[in-house]
Amino acid sequence: MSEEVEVKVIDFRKVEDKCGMSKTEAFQIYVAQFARPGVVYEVIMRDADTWLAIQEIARDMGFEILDAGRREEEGVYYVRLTLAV
Amino acid sequence: MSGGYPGPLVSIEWLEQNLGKPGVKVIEVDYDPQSAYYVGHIPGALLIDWKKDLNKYPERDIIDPEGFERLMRRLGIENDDHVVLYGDFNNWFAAFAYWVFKMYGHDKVSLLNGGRTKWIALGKPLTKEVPKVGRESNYRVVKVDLRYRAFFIDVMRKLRDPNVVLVDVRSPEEYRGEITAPPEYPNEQAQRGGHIPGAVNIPWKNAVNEDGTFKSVEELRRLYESKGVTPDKEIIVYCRIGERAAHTWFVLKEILGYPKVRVYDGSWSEWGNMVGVPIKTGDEP
Repeated sequence: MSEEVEVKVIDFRKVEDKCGMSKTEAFQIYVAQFARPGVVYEVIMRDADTWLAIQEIARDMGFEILDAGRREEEGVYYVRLTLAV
Repeated sequence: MSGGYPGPLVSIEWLEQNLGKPGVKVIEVDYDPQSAYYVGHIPGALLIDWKKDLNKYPERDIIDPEGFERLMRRLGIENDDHVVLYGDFNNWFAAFAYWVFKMYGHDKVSLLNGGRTKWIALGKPLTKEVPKVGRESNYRVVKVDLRYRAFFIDVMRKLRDPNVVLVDVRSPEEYRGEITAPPEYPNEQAQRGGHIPGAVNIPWKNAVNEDGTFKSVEELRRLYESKGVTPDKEIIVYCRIGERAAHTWFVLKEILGYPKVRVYDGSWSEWGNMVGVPIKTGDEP
Protein backbone atom coordinates (compact mmCIF):
# COMPACT_ATOMS: atom_id res chain seq x y z
CA MET A 1 0.00 0.00 0.00
CA SER A 2 1.43 3.33 -1.00
CA GLU A 3 1.77 6.04 1.57
CA GLU A 4 -0.74 8.87 1.18
CA VAL A 5 0.93 12.16 0.32
CA GLU A 6 -0.50 15.30 1.81
CA VAL A 7 -1.33 17.93 -0.81
CA LYS A 8 -1.87 21.50 0.24
CA VAL A 9 -3.52 23.82 -2.22
CA ILE A 10 -2.43 27.43 -2.27
CA ASP A 11 -4.55 29.79 -4.33
CA PHE A 12 -2.63 32.77 -5.62
CA ARG A 13 -5.75 34.73 -6.53
CA LYS A 14 -5.22 37.31 -3.82
CA VAL A 15 -1.59 37.67 -4.79
CA GLU A 16 -2.49 38.21 -8.43
CA ASP A 17 -4.96 40.89 -7.42
CA LYS A 18 -2.42 42.78 -5.37
CA CYS A 19 -0.96 45.85 -6.92
CA GLY A 20 2.61 45.29 -7.94
CA MET A 21 3.43 42.51 -5.50
CA SER A 22 6.68 40.80 -6.41
CA LYS A 23 6.08 37.16 -7.29
CA THR A 24 9.27 36.17 -5.51
CA GLU A 25 8.08 37.79 -2.30
CA ALA A 26 4.66 36.28 -2.76
CA PHE A 27 6.13 32.81 -3.13
CA GLN A 28 8.31 33.37 -0.09
CA ILE A 29 5.39 34.59 2.02
CA TYR A 30 2.68 32.17 0.94
CA VAL A 31 4.63 29.01 0.17
CA ALA A 32 8.32 28.83 1.03
CA GLN A 33 8.22 29.96 4.64
CA PHE A 34 5.62 27.34 5.58
CA ALA A 35 6.86 24.52 3.36
CA ARG A 36 7.70 21.23 5.04
CA PRO A 37 9.54 18.23 3.56
CA GLY A 38 7.24 15.48 2.33
CA VAL A 39 4.31 17.78 1.69
CA VAL A 40 3.19 18.43 -1.86
CA TYR A 41 1.96 21.92 -2.56
CA GLU A 42 -0.29 22.79 -5.45
CA VAL A 43 -0.12 26.46 -6.28
CA ILE A 44 -2.97 27.55 -8.48
CA MET A 45 -3.25 30.79 -10.40
CA ARG A 46 -5.08 32.30 -13.31
CA ASP A 47 -2.44 33.85 -15.45
CA ALA A 48 0.27 32.21 -17.48
CA ASP A 49 2.86 34.83 -16.57
CA THR A 50 2.65 34.01 -12.87
CA TRP A 51 2.56 30.29 -13.67
CA LEU A 52 5.84 30.45 -15.57
CA ALA A 53 7.49 32.66 -12.97
CA ILE A 54 6.50 30.45 -10.03
CA GLN A 55 8.19 27.43 -11.61
CA GLU A 56 11.46 29.32 -11.96
CA ILE A 57 11.27 30.88 -8.51
CA ALA A 58 10.42 27.55 -6.89
CA ARG A 59 13.42 25.82 -8.47
CA ASP A 60 15.66 28.66 -7.34
CA MET A 61 14.35 28.25 -3.79
CA GLY A 62 15.07 24.56 -3.65
CA PHE A 63 11.75 23.05 -4.65
CA GLU A 64 11.21 20.21 -7.05
CA ILE A 65 8.51 20.74 -9.67
CA LEU A 66 6.38 17.61 -9.83
CA ASP A 67 3.90 18.79 -12.41
CA ALA A 68 2.75 21.99 -14.01
CA GLY A 69 -0.06 22.67 -16.41
CA ARG A 70 -3.48 24.11 -17.02
CA ARG A 71 -6.90 22.77 -16.03
CA GLU A 72 -9.12 24.19 -18.73
CA GLU A 73 -12.36 23.24 -17.01
CA GLU A 74 -11.44 25.27 -13.92
CA GLY A 75 -9.71 28.03 -15.85
CA VAL A 76 -6.58 27.72 -13.70
CA TYR A 77 -2.90 27.04 -14.09
CA TYR A 78 -1.24 24.87 -11.47
CA VAL A 79 2.23 24.00 -10.25
CA ARG A 80 2.70 20.96 -8.03
CA LEU A 81 5.90 21.12 -6.06
CA THR A 82 7.66 19.82 -3.02
CA LEU A 83 10.81 20.69 -1.13
CA ALA A 84 13.71 18.95 -2.83
CA VAL A 85 15.55 16.66 -0.45
CA MET B 1 9.43 51.00 -41.13
CA SER B 2 7.19 48.98 -43.39
CA GLY B 3 3.43 49.00 -43.02
CA GLY B 4 3.11 52.28 -41.13
CA TYR B 5 2.09 52.89 -37.56
CA PRO B 6 -0.78 50.54 -36.72
CA GLY B 7 -2.13 52.52 -33.75
CA PRO B 8 -1.90 52.42 -29.98
CA LEU B 9 -2.83 48.75 -29.60
CA VAL B 10 -1.26 45.86 -31.48
CA SER B 11 -2.18 42.20 -31.38
CA ILE B 12 0.15 39.29 -30.82
CA GLU B 13 -0.41 38.29 -34.44
CA TRP B 14 0.70 41.74 -35.61
CA LEU B 15 3.80 41.56 -33.45
CA GLU B 16 4.73 38.11 -34.77
CA GLN B 17 4.55 39.45 -38.30
CA ASN B 18 6.62 42.52 -37.52
CA LEU B 19 9.12 41.23 -34.98
CA GLY B 20 12.65 42.09 -36.03
CA LYS B 21 11.64 44.51 -38.76
CA PRO B 22 13.71 47.67 -38.98
CA GLY B 23 12.27 50.47 -36.89
CA VAL B 24 10.16 48.17 -34.70
CA LYS B 25 11.52 47.96 -31.15
CA VAL B 26 9.92 45.76 -28.54
CA ILE B 27 10.37 46.62 -24.88
CA GLU B 28 9.23 44.64 -21.86
CA VAL B 29 8.37 46.90 -18.92
CA ASP B 30 8.45 45.09 -15.60
CA TYR B 31 7.89 45.90 -11.99
CA ASP B 32 9.67 42.68 -11.14
CA PRO B 33 12.10 41.77 -13.95
CA GLN B 34 13.63 38.87 -12.01
CA SER B 35 10.40 36.92 -12.17
CA ALA B 36 9.42 38.13 -15.62
CA TYR B 37 11.98 39.36 -18.19
CA TYR B 38 14.79 37.19 -16.84
CA VAL B 39 12.55 34.13 -16.70
CA GLY B 40 11.91 34.59 -20.40
CA HIS B 41 10.91 37.38 -22.76
CA ILE B 42 9.88 37.90 -26.36
CA PRO B 43 12.96 37.33 -28.54
CA GLY B 44 14.69 40.62 -29.17
CA ALA B 45 12.79 42.52 -26.49
CA LEU B 46 14.68 45.10 -24.48
CA LEU B 47 13.96 45.75 -20.80
CA ILE B 48 12.70 48.76 -18.92
CA ASP B 49 12.83 48.18 -15.17
CA TRP B 50 9.95 50.37 -13.98
CA LYS B 51 11.41 51.14 -10.56
CA LYS B 52 14.94 51.89 -11.73
CA ASP B 53 14.39 53.32 -15.18
CA LEU B 54 11.15 55.31 -15.13
CA ASN B 55 11.37 56.81 -11.67
CA LYS B 56 13.51 59.69 -10.57
CA TYR B 57 15.60 59.58 -7.41
CA PRO B 58 15.82 60.86 -4.75
CA GLU B 59 12.68 62.90 -5.47
CA ARG B 60 9.40 61.11 -6.01
CA ASP B 61 8.70 61.78 -9.65
CA ILE B 62 8.87 60.21 -13.06
CA ILE B 63 12.13 60.65 -14.94
CA ASP B 64 12.62 64.08 -16.45
CA PRO B 65 13.12 64.67 -20.21
CA GLU B 66 16.89 64.33 -19.87
CA GLY B 67 16.46 61.05 -18.01
CA PHE B 68 14.11 59.82 -20.72
CA GLU B 69 16.65 60.76 -23.38
CA ARG B 70 19.37 58.87 -21.54
CA LEU B 71 17.13 55.83 -21.26
CA MET B 72 16.18 55.88 -24.94
CA ARG B 73 19.81 56.35 -25.99
CA ARG B 74 20.97 53.47 -23.82
CA LEU B 75 18.30 51.23 -25.34
CA GLY B 76 19.22 52.34 -28.85
CA ILE B 77 15.76 53.78 -29.52
CA GLU B 78 15.57 56.47 -32.21
CA ASN B 79 12.90 59.16 -32.34
CA ASP B 80 11.29 57.57 -35.37
CA ASP B 81 11.20 54.01 -34.03
CA HIS B 82 7.87 52.33 -33.43
CA VAL B 83 8.08 51.08 -29.86
CA VAL B 84 5.88 48.18 -28.78
CA LEU B 85 5.50 47.86 -25.02
CA TYR B 86 4.32 44.93 -22.97
CA GLY B 87 5.05 43.70 -19.48
CA ASP B 88 4.23 41.96 -16.25
CA PHE B 89 1.20 42.53 -14.02
CA ASN B 90 -1.30 42.71 -16.86
CA ASN B 91 0.58 45.44 -18.70
CA TRP B 92 0.11 47.93 -15.83
CA PHE B 93 3.69 49.11 -15.91
CA ALA B 94 3.84 48.94 -19.69
CA ALA B 95 0.80 51.23 -19.75
CA PHE B 96 2.60 53.56 -17.34
CA ALA B 97 5.60 53.56 -19.67
CA TYR B 98 3.30 54.22 -22.62
CA TRP B 99 1.93 57.27 -20.78
CA VAL B 100 5.50 58.50 -20.17
CA PHE B 101 6.42 57.96 -23.85
CA LYS B 102 3.42 60.04 -24.90
CA MET B 103 4.25 62.81 -22.46
CA TYR B 104 7.74 63.00 -23.87
CA GLY B 105 6.43 63.24 -27.39
CA HIS B 106 7.12 59.73 -28.67
CA ASP B 107 3.96 59.13 -30.65
CA LYS B 108 4.84 55.92 -32.44
CA VAL B 109 4.26 53.70 -29.45
CA SER B 110 1.87 50.79 -28.98
CA LEU B 111 0.81 48.43 -26.25
CA LEU B 112 0.75 44.70 -26.93
CA ASN B 113 -2.80 43.51 -26.29
CA GLY B 114 -2.69 40.79 -23.64
CA GLY B 115 0.96 41.42 -22.75
CA ARG B 116 3.14 38.73 -21.23
CA THR B 117 0.20 36.75 -19.97
CA LYS B 118 -1.31 36.08 -23.37
CA TRP B 119 2.05 35.59 -25.11
CA ILE B 120 2.93 32.86 -22.61
CA ALA B 121 -0.57 31.37 -22.57
CA LEU B 122 -0.40 30.93 -26.35
CA GLY B 123 2.92 29.13 -26.02
CA LYS B 124 4.81 31.71 -28.05
CA PRO B 125 8.62 31.60 -27.99
CA LEU B 126 10.52 33.05 -25.07
CA THR B 127 14.21 33.60 -24.59
CA LYS B 128 16.54 34.48 -21.74
CA GLU B 129 19.01 36.05 -24.13
CA VAL B 130 19.37 39.76 -23.52
CA PRO B 131 19.76 41.55 -26.85
CA LYS B 132 22.88 43.60 -27.34
CA VAL B 133 22.31 47.22 -28.21
CA GLY B 134 24.81 47.96 -30.93
CA ARG B 135 25.28 51.63 -30.23
CA GLU B 136 23.59 54.37 -28.28
CA SER B 137 21.04 56.35 -30.26
CA ASN B 138 20.82 60.10 -30.75
CA TYR B 139 17.40 60.34 -29.15
CA ARG B 140 16.11 63.83 -28.39
CA VAL B 141 12.97 64.80 -26.51
CA VAL B 142 11.51 67.44 -28.79
CA LYS B 143 8.26 68.11 -26.97
CA VAL B 144 6.81 67.58 -23.53
CA ASP B 145 3.06 67.20 -23.28
CA LEU B 146 1.83 67.58 -19.73
CA ARG B 147 -1.86 67.50 -20.66
CA TYR B 148 -1.88 63.86 -19.65
CA ARG B 149 -0.72 64.40 -16.09
CA ALA B 150 -2.53 65.79 -13.04
CA PHE B 151 -0.82 66.91 -9.87
CA PHE B 152 -2.27 67.10 -6.37
CA ILE B 153 -3.11 70.78 -6.75
CA ASP B 154 -4.98 70.10 -10.00
CA VAL B 155 -7.16 67.54 -8.28
CA MET B 156 -7.83 69.85 -5.33
CA ARG B 157 -8.92 72.60 -7.70
CA LYS B 158 -11.24 70.27 -9.59
CA LEU B 159 -13.01 68.78 -6.59
CA ARG B 160 -16.78 69.09 -7.04
CA ASP B 161 -16.37 70.57 -10.53
CA PRO B 162 -19.38 69.14 -12.42
CA ASN B 163 -17.33 68.97 -15.62
CA VAL B 164 -14.70 66.77 -14.05
CA VAL B 165 -14.99 63.09 -13.18
CA LEU B 166 -12.49 61.44 -10.87
CA VAL B 167 -12.04 57.73 -11.48
CA ASP B 168 -10.58 55.54 -8.75
CA VAL B 169 -9.40 52.32 -10.39
CA ARG B 170 -8.29 50.52 -7.22
CA SER B 171 -10.09 47.54 -5.75
CA PRO B 172 -13.41 48.14 -3.95
CA GLU B 173 -11.66 47.33 -0.65
CA GLU B 174 -9.14 50.10 -1.20
CA TYR B 175 -11.85 52.49 -2.38
CA ARG B 176 -14.00 51.87 0.68
CA GLY B 177 -11.02 52.41 2.94
CA GLU B 178 -10.75 48.88 4.31
CA ILE B 179 -7.13 48.55 3.18
CA THR B 180 -4.55 51.09 2.10
CA ALA B 181 -1.83 48.85 0.66
CA PRO B 182 -0.64 45.27 1.08
CA PRO B 183 1.31 44.88 4.33
CA GLU B 184 4.38 43.83 2.34
CA TYR B 185 4.57 47.33 0.86
CA PRO B 186 5.17 49.70 3.75
CA ASN B 187 6.43 52.39 1.35
CA GLU B 188 3.09 52.44 -0.38
CA GLN B 189 1.00 52.70 2.77
CA ALA B 190 -1.17 55.69 3.49
CA GLN B 191 -2.09 57.21 6.80
CA ARG B 192 -5.74 57.14 5.84
CA GLY B 193 -7.93 54.81 3.80
CA GLY B 194 -10.80 55.76 1.54
CA HIS B 195 -11.15 57.73 -1.66
CA ILE B 196 -11.17 61.27 -3.01
CA PRO B 197 -14.68 62.70 -2.52
CA GLY B 198 -16.71 62.43 -5.69
CA ALA B 199 -14.53 59.74 -7.28
CA VAL B 200 -16.32 56.81 -8.87
CA ASN B 201 -14.85 53.35 -8.43
CA ILE B 202 -14.22 51.44 -11.64
CA PRO B 203 -11.49 48.87 -10.91
CA TRP B 204 -8.92 48.58 -13.71
CA LYS B 205 -9.65 44.87 -14.15
CA ASN B 206 -13.19 45.58 -15.33
CA ALA B 207 -11.62 46.70 -18.60
CA VAL B 208 -9.93 43.40 -19.44
CA ASN B 209 -10.90 39.88 -20.40
CA GLU B 210 -9.68 36.74 -18.63
CA ASP B 211 -6.77 36.44 -21.07
CA GLY B 212 -5.54 39.94 -20.30
CA THR B 213 -6.73 41.53 -23.54
CA PHE B 214 -8.91 44.60 -23.46
CA LYS B 215 -12.66 44.23 -23.75
CA SER B 216 -14.39 45.40 -26.91
CA VAL B 217 -14.94 49.10 -27.54
CA GLU B 218 -18.69 48.62 -27.04
CA GLU B 219 -18.22 46.88 -23.69
CA LEU B 220 -15.74 49.49 -22.54
CA ARG B 221 -17.97 52.37 -23.57
CA ARG B 222 -20.89 50.85 -21.66
CA LEU B 223 -18.72 50.25 -18.60
CA TYR B 224 -17.51 53.82 -18.28
CA GLU B 225 -20.57 55.68 -19.51
CA SER B 226 -22.78 53.81 -17.05
CA LYS B 227 -20.75 55.45 -14.27
CA GLY B 228 -20.87 58.93 -15.76
CA VAL B 229 -17.43 58.76 -17.32
CA THR B 230 -18.28 60.33 -20.66
CA PRO B 231 -16.14 61.94 -23.35
CA ASP B 232 -17.57 65.41 -22.79
CA LYS B 233 -16.04 65.47 -19.28
CA GLU B 234 -12.52 66.02 -18.10
CA ILE B 235 -11.38 62.77 -16.55
CA ILE B 236 -8.74 62.33 -13.85
CA VAL B 237 -7.74 58.76 -13.07
CA TYR B 238 -5.88 57.58 -9.99
CA CYS B 239 -4.95 54.41 -8.09
CA ARG B 240 -2.22 54.02 -5.46
CA ILE B 241 1.04 54.78 -7.25
CA GLY B 242 -0.18 55.49 -10.76
CA GLU B 243 0.37 52.33 -12.78
CA ARG B 244 -3.17 50.94 -12.65
CA ALA B 245 -4.40 54.46 -13.39
CA ALA B 246 -2.18 54.54 -16.48
CA HIS B 247 -3.83 51.29 -17.62
CA THR B 248 -7.29 52.90 -17.42
CA TRP B 249 -5.93 56.12 -18.95
CA PHE B 250 -4.88 54.02 -21.94
CA VAL B 251 -8.40 52.61 -22.24
CA LEU B 252 -10.12 55.99 -22.05
CA LYS B 253 -7.64 58.01 -24.11
CA GLU B 254 -6.30 55.54 -26.63
CA ILE B 255 -9.05 52.97 -27.09
CA LEU B 256 -12.17 55.07 -26.52
CA GLY B 257 -10.63 58.31 -27.75
CA TYR B 258 -11.73 60.53 -24.86
CA PRO B 259 -10.12 63.93 -25.43
CA LYS B 260 -9.30 65.01 -21.88
CA VAL B 261 -7.91 62.29 -19.66
CA ARG B 262 -5.16 62.72 -17.09
CA VAL B 263 -3.37 60.44 -14.67
CA TYR B 264 -2.97 61.66 -11.12
CA ASP B 265 0.13 59.59 -10.46
CA GLY B 266 0.57 60.91 -6.94
CA SER B 267 -2.58 58.86 -6.39
CA TRP B 268 -3.59 57.47 -3.03
CA SER B 269 -0.02 57.20 -1.74
CA GLU B 270 0.00 61.00 -1.91
CA TRP B 271 -3.61 61.92 -1.16
CA GLY B 272 -3.96 59.45 1.70
CA ASN B 273 -0.92 60.90 3.41
CA MET B 274 -1.68 64.60 3.02
CA VAL B 275 -2.74 66.62 6.04
CA GLY B 276 -6.14 68.24 5.90
CA VAL B 277 -7.43 66.93 2.56
CA PRO B 278 -11.00 65.65 2.34
CA ILE B 279 -11.49 61.88 2.27
CA LYS B 280 -14.57 59.76 1.90
CA THR B 281 -14.97 56.17 3.03
CA GLY B 282 -17.55 53.56 2.03
CA ASP B 283 -19.23 52.71 -1.24
CA GLU B 284 -20.61 56.11 -2.18
CA PRO B 285 -18.61 58.63 -4.25
